[in-house]
Amino acid sequence: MLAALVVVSLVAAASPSLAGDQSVIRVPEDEPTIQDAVDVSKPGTLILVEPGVYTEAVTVAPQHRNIVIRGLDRATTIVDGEFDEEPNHENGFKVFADGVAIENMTARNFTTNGFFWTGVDGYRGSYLTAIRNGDYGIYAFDSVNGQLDHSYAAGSPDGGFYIGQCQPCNALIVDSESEWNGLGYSGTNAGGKLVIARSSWHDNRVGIVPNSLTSEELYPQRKATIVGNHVFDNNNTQSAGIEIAVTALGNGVLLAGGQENVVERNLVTGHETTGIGVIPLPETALYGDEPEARDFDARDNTVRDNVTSANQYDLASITSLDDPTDDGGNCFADNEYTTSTPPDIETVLPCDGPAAGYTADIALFAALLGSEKPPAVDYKVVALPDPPVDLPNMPKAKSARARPATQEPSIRVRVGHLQVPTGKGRG
Amino acid sequence: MRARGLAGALALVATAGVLAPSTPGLAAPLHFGPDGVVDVKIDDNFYRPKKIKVRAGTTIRWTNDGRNEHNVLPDTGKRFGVGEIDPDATYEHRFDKPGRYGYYCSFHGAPRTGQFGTVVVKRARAERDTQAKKAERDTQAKGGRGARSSGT
Repeated sequence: MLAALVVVSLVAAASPSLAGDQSVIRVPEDEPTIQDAVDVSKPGTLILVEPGVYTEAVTVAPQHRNIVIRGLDRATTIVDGEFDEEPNHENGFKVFADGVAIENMTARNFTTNGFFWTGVDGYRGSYLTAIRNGDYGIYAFDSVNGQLDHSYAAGSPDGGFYIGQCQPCNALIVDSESEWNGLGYSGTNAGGKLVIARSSWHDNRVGIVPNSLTSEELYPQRKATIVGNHVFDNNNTQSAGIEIAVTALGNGVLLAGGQENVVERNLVTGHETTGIGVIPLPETALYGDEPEARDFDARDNTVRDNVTSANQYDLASITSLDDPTDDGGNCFADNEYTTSTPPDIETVLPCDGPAAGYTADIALFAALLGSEKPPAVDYKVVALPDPPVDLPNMPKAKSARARPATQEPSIRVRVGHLQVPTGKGRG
Repeated sequence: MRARGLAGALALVATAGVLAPSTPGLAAPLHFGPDGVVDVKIDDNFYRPKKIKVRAGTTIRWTNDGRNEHNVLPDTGKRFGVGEIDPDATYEHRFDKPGRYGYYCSFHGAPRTGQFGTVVVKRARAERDTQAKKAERDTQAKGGRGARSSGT
């Protein structure tokens, strides 16, 4: 009882609006580590983490559902993996519980992922910073009903942000930024009420890459919406990168073997290969020795109302490597563009009528992606820029009440109202 | 998302202009190779099959068919396991003692959650038959009616 009173007293002193709330656990005052706090948490618990560097890896077991883990300062509340390769130290946060929100902190130097939710119903990552993690920065796998917002990821060889294996995902990435990763966003077999909006994807090797693969379940990837994003200069040869990121260098948005995706009202500029590319993902060519390998065509994707410029090819579409005349039902309309393959793409692949005379230049596609590219840099030593100084802190982090991730996505994005970004400011 | 050999594969496409026909997706059957090894596949992020039953003395071979690194760690103890299995790499362990062995990938799971699996090791056939016969003899010696060996 005495301990409980001390807890309440400490919390009351620093956070008046949370005074008397016995569901608050403060780290390190009440519990010495974040893991210790998680292990005694109950649904509704708010774990408040003081600024500091925490050299721990946190696992949220399934019974600790509907909790909130919040740093009091985004930039200085840091969970640091120190590149520790010991088992169970690979992820900053590994969440197996439904409804867990993580807010306002940084995870860096983990050999696998910074923030990782897997197999959960309900997740949220808000005001997170993920830096120099060896696989993904912020990662939701086999999880539904989620939101990643106001977050930043840099320095991962795979996706800075990754949502994978969900259909329908019912998930949102919004008001976020991804730079200096192999892939700004990767989304294998993820779609269905999946919206990537109002965010900035730049200076990665590749920008936004929904994709289909048999190595995860629920293929093919389909039904993602990419809207209102600023995608620029994803040609970074100095970043880390998995092999596909190295190979696909210089592309803004690539729908790789995806179906029924919508790419609209994005600003896409400055790519050495394509601005927005609709391409197949030929596993039989990539992994011919694997019995389950299959070729994923790109079908029924819509690219409209985007503003593209200064890309080698602003727009590109190749349905399949098997048949260059297969238009795949992909369509392009009302985009601002100068160059495309095939040429005059909006006439050849219109959205208001049948395709007319479509022929894919497969040899060009192969030459662009198959050409020699600069090798990746080890993620541990990449010369990353400092995170932007204007990354926002969570408002009222000290006093805002816990809001577990039980009704995500909670930010209401009116997709139809989002405009093409101006190119100024974040997202 | 990981890929291997894309540049080379696409260069081949550029040269040949066509690809080999696609192979339809196949279920992953549990198979016993000529060396008596039972295979468990590792994909992103699960083991297949998730649960496997074998006789004592069987070797399990885990093969990473995923694009990411995985590992195999026992839920408890250190009787088997490996800290890292790269894509295309394998790890083997022979299970000699009957029991239930839970394991997981520490990158993507934890004991009994996320990416995890179970190996159930039953008594070896010869041992089982020997014990069944002994039980039958004991029962007959006592003049009662006891369990019988199924002979399977």
